Amino acid sequence: MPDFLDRVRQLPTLGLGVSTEYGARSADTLDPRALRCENVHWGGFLEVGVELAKGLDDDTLAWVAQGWPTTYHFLDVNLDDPLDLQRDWLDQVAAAVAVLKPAWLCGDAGLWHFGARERGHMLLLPPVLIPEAVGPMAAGIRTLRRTIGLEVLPENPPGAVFVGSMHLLDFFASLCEQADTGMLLDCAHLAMVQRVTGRSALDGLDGFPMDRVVELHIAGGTVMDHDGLPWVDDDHGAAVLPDTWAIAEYVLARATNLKAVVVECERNPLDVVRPLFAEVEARTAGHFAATGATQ
Amino acid sequence: MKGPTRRVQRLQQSMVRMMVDSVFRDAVYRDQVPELSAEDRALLIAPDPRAWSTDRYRRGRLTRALLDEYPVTGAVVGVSRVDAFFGSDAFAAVLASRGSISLAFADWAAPQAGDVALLEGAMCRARRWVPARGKGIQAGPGVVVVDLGAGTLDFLQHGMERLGAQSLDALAQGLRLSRPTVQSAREHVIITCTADGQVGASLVGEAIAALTRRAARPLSTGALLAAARRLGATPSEAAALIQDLLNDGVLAESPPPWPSALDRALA
Repeated sequence: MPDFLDRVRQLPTLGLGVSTEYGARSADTLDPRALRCENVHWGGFLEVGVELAKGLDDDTLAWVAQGWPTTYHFLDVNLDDPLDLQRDWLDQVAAAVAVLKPAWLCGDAGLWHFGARERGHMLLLPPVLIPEAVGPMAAGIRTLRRTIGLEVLPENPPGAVFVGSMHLLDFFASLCEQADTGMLLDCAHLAMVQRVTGRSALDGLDGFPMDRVVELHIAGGTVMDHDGLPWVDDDHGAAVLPDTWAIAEYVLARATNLKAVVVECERNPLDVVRPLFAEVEARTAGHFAATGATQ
Repeated sequence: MKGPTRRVQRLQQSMVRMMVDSVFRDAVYRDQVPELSAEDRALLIAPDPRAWSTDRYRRGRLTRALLDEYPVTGAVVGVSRVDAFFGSDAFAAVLASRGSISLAFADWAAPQAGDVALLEGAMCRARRWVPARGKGIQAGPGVVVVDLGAGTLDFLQHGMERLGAQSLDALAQGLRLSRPTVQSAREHVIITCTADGQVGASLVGEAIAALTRRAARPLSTGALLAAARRLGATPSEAAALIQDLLNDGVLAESPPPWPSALDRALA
């Protein structure tokens, strides 16, 4: 198998897209199909957050019925845990992939649940940032890629607390190398870790292999106060924090294999997020890598 | 594929406990958790201690998930007592063993709530039914049998009526139930759950309870007939009983797994 930096050329360029997850839409939140019909460049693809215990909702199935592009964002697997990657779950992923026909799989590389995959056990914690945590997670990515036959892009998770001696970017650089894969870089999540670890927004990016970045997430957040401790709530609102923009701008200028950008705003009315899509479109113009294939 | 190292697992489990259990968190910061190495403790106390509790509702969500499945137990012991589970050794053990919070809660709560905790725990097991491995006759899809003090099912049903359709609201408003009186006599309750999570429960006799329990693992027809004979049935009675149980879905021959949510969405 050619290495990732050869394989990435064959991935389709999806451009700008929007995310969803099961039951995300209510009467006053944006309809991804309406977004695409209004502006195909804003709704270029749908990133579908999948928790297999819930299935796929009608909005997603309606999008797929049109044959429009998707990516599959997992919400229910601890990549480092072989007991999470057993046959029954993999079979269900394959079944969902057959429906969604995603360009690739992606998702937060952290602890989606503690212990077994069980109701009430869901949470999302970042990985333990020590070198010995990298290998098992890389093995899980390889297993998932080999079984499903699609690229698997780990995403840096959100969090208000990070444990470990490694810089998060060093952890993910090592993960991408050991798993021979690319990365979904969530700019808002990275801004959170930089803030809570007392670093500047761009700290560590100069040493990160930017050619691994295939997808970006841009989302609004809110600075909160907890007993005097400022932290960022990753609320996917329409107000993108300056640190998130700074990271996005830095990466956009250097990510030579960038194929997709998701604006995460699934629980907002379309009227509220139009300006955000317009701004992201303007900032990302000219920054996507040439397409290797069409979806 | 190898999983995370023991050290990474310990750190992950400690992170979860530090997020939901302030007593444990304080103990880590005060160096009062001897099972943590100095190196790992240094990693865990590096963050600002306030950062562990920025999500003020995390423990509340976990408590709510338990109350969803244990409304009557919650009414007997009180919501604050259910919440206390997340500071217990039993919760730490669930983390370490990759167990189910809901199933572990039944055993933890039973000494305080009585057998109604075991009954609601059996309902949890029914909701999580998966076919046993192997061929043969086994308990049907979503079927669980449990032996309890007499009157427990009646207590549960009255409790559910008191709580009403919005049981979480009633619990949040402080509705409490007195702990049922312990009965020396026993009753056998069979629980059935459908693929979409609808749970029913009814009393059954000793023979049906015993046969269903025996069929927790797949059995040959001959083994099941022999079990019925040992319970006192004649050969023809045993055959008729097993056929009835198969017809009613209490027993099933190599049942397939329930359809997944994805299967149902695509149906």
